[in-house]
Amino acid sequence: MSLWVDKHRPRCLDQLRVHSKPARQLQKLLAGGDCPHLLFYGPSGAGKKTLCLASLRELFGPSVEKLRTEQKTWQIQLPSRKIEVELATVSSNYHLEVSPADAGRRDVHVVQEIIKEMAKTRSSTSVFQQQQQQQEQEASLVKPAKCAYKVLVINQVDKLSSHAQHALRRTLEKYSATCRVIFTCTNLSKVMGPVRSRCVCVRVKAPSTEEISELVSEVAGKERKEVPRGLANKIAASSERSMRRALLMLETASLGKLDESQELQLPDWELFIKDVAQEILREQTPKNLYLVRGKLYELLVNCVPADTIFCKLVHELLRKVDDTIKYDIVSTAATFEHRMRLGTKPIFHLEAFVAKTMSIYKEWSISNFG
Amino acid sequence: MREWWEKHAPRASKDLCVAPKKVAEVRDWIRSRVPSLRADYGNHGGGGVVVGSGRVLLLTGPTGCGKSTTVELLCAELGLRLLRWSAPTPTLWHEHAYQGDLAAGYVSKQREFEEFLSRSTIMSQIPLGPSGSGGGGGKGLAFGKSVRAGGTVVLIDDLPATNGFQKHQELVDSLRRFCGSSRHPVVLCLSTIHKQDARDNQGYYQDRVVRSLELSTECKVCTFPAVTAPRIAKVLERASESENHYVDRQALSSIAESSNGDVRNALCTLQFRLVGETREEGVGAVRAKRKRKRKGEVEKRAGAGGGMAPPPPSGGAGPCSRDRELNRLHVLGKILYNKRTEEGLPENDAEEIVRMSHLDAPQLLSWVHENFPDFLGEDAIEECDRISAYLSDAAALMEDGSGFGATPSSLVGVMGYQYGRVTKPTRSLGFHQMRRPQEFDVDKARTMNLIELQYTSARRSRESRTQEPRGTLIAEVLPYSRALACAGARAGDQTRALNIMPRGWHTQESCRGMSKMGFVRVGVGDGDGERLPMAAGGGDQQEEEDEIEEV
Repeated sequence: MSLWVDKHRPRCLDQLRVHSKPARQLQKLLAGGDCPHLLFYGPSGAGKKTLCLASLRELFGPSVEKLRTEQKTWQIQLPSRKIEVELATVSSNYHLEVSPADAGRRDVHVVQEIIKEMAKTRSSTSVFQQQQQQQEQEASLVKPAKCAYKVLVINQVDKLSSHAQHALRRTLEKYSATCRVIFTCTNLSKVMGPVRSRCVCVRVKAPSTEEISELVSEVAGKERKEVPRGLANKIAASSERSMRRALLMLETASLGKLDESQELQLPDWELFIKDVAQEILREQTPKNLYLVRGKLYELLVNCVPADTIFCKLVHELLRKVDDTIKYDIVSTAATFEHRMRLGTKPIFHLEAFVAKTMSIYKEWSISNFG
Repeated sequence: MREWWEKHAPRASKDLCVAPKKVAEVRDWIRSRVPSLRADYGNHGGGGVVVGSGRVLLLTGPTGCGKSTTVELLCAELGLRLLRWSAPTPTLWHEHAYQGDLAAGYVSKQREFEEFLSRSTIMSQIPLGPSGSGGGGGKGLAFGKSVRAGGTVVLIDDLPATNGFQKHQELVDSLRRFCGSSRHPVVLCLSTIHKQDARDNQGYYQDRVVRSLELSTECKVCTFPAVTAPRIAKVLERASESENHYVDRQALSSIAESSNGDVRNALCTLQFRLVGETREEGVGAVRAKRKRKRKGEVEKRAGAGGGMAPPPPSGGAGPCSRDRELNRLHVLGKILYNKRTEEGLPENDAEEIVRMSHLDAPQLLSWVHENFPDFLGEDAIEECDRISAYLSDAAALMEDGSGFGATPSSLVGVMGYQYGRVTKPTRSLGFHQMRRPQEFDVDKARTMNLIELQYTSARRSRESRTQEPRGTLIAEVLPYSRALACAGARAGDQTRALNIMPRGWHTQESCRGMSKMGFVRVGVGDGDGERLPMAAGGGDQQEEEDEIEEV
């Protein structure tokens, strides 16, 4: 049984409710059967992927939904040695989806080699199709309708290293005859200029809370559940304007009784971070710092990314402290987060931030309350 | 030239510099295990072969403390045959590849080891190769000299290095099979040196060998302590006397001290120092000279202030001794207790500590980081803040590959601690147990979980028709599927969302081997400390959870 998020993801561009305007534009753009390089950007849960998949379907028809998921291993010959890169791919006959950012430091090689390889060799079906089209063309002089190139979907371009992005730029130029690329990213400013300028950038903004609350009622209706207006609004308000989160919340809530008084389930790690923030403000001693460290470790073990922890923790702290020390806390967080990106050992930087916050808070409370 | 540690190796068990108690322990063990000796050993009447349990002895101890020598000598004295695995001369892979005709065929060390094990069980009565260690055909099999009583002891001195988990598992399996079924008692010698470095893979694997042996067969563990300095000095004196060299006692004892309890190393050092020195003439000349010297000293003391040069300071022990090492605990103690001089400056020089510690920066910093909050006063959060900021600096400098090396970054960390901590703690610290950094386990668990997540996201992409970034998977999809699974279990709808969740999940404790794997207490959600299952595993894990809660 699949999750409602997946089940109710719109498949065609005309089905889209939330981003109907960009969808219509895309439809017009793709109507000729050709497409430029595309770049979808916007916050998480806004619908970038949905737009991307729907565009693919618009281009290639429903057969693009026959998918293979594979864990592929590529052997890459470097000047000095041979390395193996393993990467998960989702592909159909017409497209291939990869997230090179998952390869970590090796993303350059992934981008250079894998994409090159994929872009060079056209899939047998598309070659076959091309021949067929040529034959048809010769026979009845019909204009070729469908395109004979593959589409490469690259996720999270903003997370790629600058080396990899440079490599990407060259690949884009070299193989644009046989290959189109669709990028998705959350932070456009981290994608370098040359890549941006070669693509049509489509902004996918986060849906408004009204849109989300409508979406929630609609999906609930499809699942034959009654969601009161108040609860739908409540879900929309606490979804942080992410459709994914809203639908997951709805599905979790639907297991209980759906009425307005229902408590919404937040992700457990967020609650955990809230707890950490409370702990920081409760007592400012080295002993307590040690306890907090244990909790941070637990978050790290569960693979919560360290920068997410930073972000959330700062948010939680800012909600609780006095205005006068907010500035200090944010500036400390910025310092240590930057250092964490430079160096190793995330716990050192997280803890340094916690210690600094504790000392700031203690100083403030002593000067105010004595 | 023969090396002295071979030449002056002990000839009888009473010459060993191992504590006599330990020697007796090993002797008793061998006696009680070899059937032909058990008749006269007394306790056990019959001489039947005991297969399996209790037939493995694990000797551990620092390098060069005489583990294998003890076993060799005891076997010779008891008249037992010693079947010994010692690492064969390896055929290097590229030798094999390029000169395939010339060199012997490439056989991995591990394969040879397994062969050795199987041959020693099956065909133990047939001589397996030329006696002595010479000759390539011997393949590391060497027999003890005399075979009188007809018993055999298998000595495994040096486990083949394994690379990768699978190879290691093969080694463990073959070893376990062998130990379980061997007709002969098995003695396994392992140096504890590997154990110190927790993140060293080889050490980790070796640790697992030991653990799995302890589990599968009843394995007796006997730990040899490092040989004390006076004992080594005595050995050195004996050796130098028999070589007709006169060496100052003080020099001998300083060599002994710097060798860290490693007899072999101490003898090597002595040999190196005495290369080309003139020898004394005649038998017993050294002893006579020593006597004369002693008399001279007495006279000098009686004479009060003669014109003789003062004895050389014993600090450096000359040009050719080992550097003094500090072990990890000493280093940490020196750093963390942070003794100060009268002027309030740190007593210990940070650079010297870091240089002597032989720990790389990530390790040293992790240990300091783990233990430092215990050494601070109750309300010293400002100091804490300063120190952890320095540690964060150090970690930022440590970025591997480029920029500053390891030493500057550990220096930043250590000096940051030394100068960041200004006040003395109010309570006395007394004896303090250093904790092993949690970070190691956390890292391990995290890496394993990330691999688990890779599979999870692949499974998930089958349903969502696309790839989700790992961030969203962790931050949104998984927490809600956990909640769904939990609520589903309450509503009796088990299958819901379970296929999304990872099949296995690791915690810090599970990586340390302390508790069962698969459950974490993150569920602060409902306030009642409810545990959410992190992994989908079906019914049996559910039962496990119940068990834990009952306990």
